[in-house]
Amino acid sequence: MATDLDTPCARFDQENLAFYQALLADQTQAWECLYIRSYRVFIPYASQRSSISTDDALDILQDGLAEFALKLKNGKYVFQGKAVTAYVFTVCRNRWVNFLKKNRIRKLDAGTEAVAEENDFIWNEPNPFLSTYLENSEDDLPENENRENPAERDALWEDSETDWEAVGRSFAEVGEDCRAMLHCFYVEEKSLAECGARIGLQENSAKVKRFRCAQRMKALYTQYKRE
Amino acid sequence: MELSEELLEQIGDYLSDRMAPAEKAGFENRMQSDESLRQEVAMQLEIKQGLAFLAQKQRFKTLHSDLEKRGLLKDEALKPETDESQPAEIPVIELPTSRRTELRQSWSYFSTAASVLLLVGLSWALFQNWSDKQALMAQNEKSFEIYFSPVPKPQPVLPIDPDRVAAPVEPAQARSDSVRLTEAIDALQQNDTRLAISQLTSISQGKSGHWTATAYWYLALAYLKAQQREEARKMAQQLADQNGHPYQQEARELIEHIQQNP
Repeated sequence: MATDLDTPCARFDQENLAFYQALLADQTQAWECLYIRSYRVFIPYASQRSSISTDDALDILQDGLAEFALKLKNGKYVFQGKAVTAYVFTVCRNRWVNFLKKNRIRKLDAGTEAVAEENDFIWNEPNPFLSTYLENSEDDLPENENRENPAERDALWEDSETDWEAVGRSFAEVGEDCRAMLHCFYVEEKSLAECGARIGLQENSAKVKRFRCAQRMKALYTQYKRE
Repeated sequence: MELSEELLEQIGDYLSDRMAPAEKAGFENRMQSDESLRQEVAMQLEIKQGLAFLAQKQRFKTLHSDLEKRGLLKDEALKPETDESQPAEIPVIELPTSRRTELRQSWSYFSTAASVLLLVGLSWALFQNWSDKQALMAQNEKSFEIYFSPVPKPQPVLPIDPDRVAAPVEPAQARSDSVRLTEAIDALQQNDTRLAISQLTSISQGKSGHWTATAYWYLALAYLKAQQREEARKMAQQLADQNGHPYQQEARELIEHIQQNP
């Protein structure tokens, strides 16, 4: 008998408010469902329209989903009646276009059947939002997340230009204890006592450790970002 | 602006939206008048966003591996397109021209049919075996997913000795174990079960403590993920019988889960 684990999308046949709320509540099945749908739409789209490898396409898909997850978390994406997968697809497609430009890879001509092909990629469930979206967005500019939630605009967050690669490179070099401490502080936003306990330090020692790790991370990031 | 412990704490509270409204307004006023503070906050924001992005990406990589193992990423749309306008070629069987040829052909058909039957039987047996194995593997994976947490339970907080505020309470061995445990859990999360089992076995053989006990629990999960179901059950049984073990309850539930899904 098929269970929810076998078919994560069983509970989310429509991409409605309930699906968005399930993602917001960080329900595993909702994220699994979104991943499966985005994968089925984006991977064939990118693979058939450019000569990128499946690994690169997957990398772009996962970058796009990570970007979406952060926007969802910080309120830059809010549900406006359109399918969430269509939004994720846009984020991924924009990243794919940038990837092609950066690596000087030419887009293959999808020809006049493009729209029909795109419709074929849609999962076998009713989803008028996505098909409409795909038909109308062949060469759109990146959809700006601020359009989703203009009230959340803030100059500091807008100005932020994070160099993901530099962050990754720096994080890889700070050492195990620092990685645990920095992840706990910056990402999980846990208390000093809890972060310290993870690496066997009591609060006062953890405070010193956290500061030194943050200093080291900042120095490396500044250096690699300049390169 | 020179980063200090206090400033890092303040920026952390600001970026995590943990400041009271009045405190937040005051901090933002300071940023408006102090460009170096603003730059420091922007730098910390970049690092925070970057690390959050990396964590999310890792999450989706793990999710991909999991879905792939469960066979949920198979899709007709991903297969190479075939030209449906040209039907598959139908094999043409010529009629025999003499009785002798007919007999020889009949025998030939008979032997071919027998071979095909044998092959089908063998394939069916192999498929059944493979299918059962796949179902068992999927079940193990599900059990692992239910009970696995990338973050181990924290060590119980001990009373703070006021005379030793700057020194760690735990011995160096315990600290090293906790770090090694984090590495092993990372390996497990990244599906490197062989490395995880090796590291967890090593930790579990150390001097008894919270982290060695935790290592036993993750070892049980690692065995499950490595499809060594019986080893996982035995390990969980040991923990379930050990009063006061931090994962005693989970171990009992895991055994029950394994037994309910043979």
